Amino acid sequence: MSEVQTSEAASGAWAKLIQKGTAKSMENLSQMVGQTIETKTFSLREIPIAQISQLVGGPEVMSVGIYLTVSGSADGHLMLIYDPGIACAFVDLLMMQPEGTTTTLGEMEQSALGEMGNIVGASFLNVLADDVGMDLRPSPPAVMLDMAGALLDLVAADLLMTQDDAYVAETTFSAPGREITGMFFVMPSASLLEKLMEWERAA
Amino acid sequence: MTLMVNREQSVVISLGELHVTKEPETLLVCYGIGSCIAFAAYDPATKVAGMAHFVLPDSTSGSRPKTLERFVDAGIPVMLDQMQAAGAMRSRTIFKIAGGAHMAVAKGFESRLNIGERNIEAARETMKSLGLRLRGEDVGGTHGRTVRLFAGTGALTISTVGGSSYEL
Repeated sequence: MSEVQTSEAASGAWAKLIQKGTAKSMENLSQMVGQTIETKTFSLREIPIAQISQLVGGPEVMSVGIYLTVSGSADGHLMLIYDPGIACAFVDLLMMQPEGTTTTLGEMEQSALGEMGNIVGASFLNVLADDVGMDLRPSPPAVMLDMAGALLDLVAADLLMTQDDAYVAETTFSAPGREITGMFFVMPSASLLEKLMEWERAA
Repeated sequence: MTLMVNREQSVVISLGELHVTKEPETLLVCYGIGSCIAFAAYDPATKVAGMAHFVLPDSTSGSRPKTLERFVDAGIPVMLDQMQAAGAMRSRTIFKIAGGAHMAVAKGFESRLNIGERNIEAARETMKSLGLRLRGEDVGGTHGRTVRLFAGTGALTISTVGGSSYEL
């Protein structure tokens, strides 16, 4: 796996706002699953768009992606990414089943994961919308199981229309006592980034 | 017991890149293609091989592109020029495409993100406008693909999730 070229971690009010939004998402995710979800790491860096899949471990790594687009005052992309086994463990948590019950992701399981995407996405966007005064709306979630590169192609295609590099907020999280970890990516488009910068300058 | 030694040198082609080679031991690979298009070309006489990993269909829409190689319509001519410079003859070259999947199958994603289908159409249209034809396609669907072109033989293989692998 090639190493991802990253810039210095972003700082400033807009970066803190993204972090606040992801923290709120994790808080609401904890409530949803009835289990503490701890944020392990948070980073917000600018990376070449072509290398985004390296953050997951490479373009061929099998992953479950819960994907929402952002529309309204500005555009962006949100994606929860799990190892398929971890996604099954999350379904067990969501459906209050003993660990190990879910082994495949059928329609019902995907629907449960989609609901998780709704909660995480809406929680995140509400923080941004309230603090910045923007109208930001999440799309319905798309739940996908495939190679990470294939999942992230959609994001890359959209962002590459206007830019070569993109800011990616990467949050890793875990549930203590359970074999559950995941990643939450926030990838603002140029329009959302500009709105956040404007808000920071005006603050 | 025969010891099999894998002598191929892999060249990974990332989003918006293309690579042309005359080295028969080179393996050109596009990993985890979703809505993107892997465009493969091979001249069996000179064994010049090339592969591109196109991301977007149209270089004329949106802001001015920095790299033509990320667009199907502009990238194909760039690749043809590089193939020719390496000794390939256009009329002899075998062209194939793979990818163009519709990854996000959910309400609300139908039109906005159907970039895969637009990429496929752009590849067909661009080839037609150049008077060339595609000899093989493995496109569409809702699944990702890893595409490999063996420069020594021109064999193009496709792998999907679940382990299925086949030659196009």
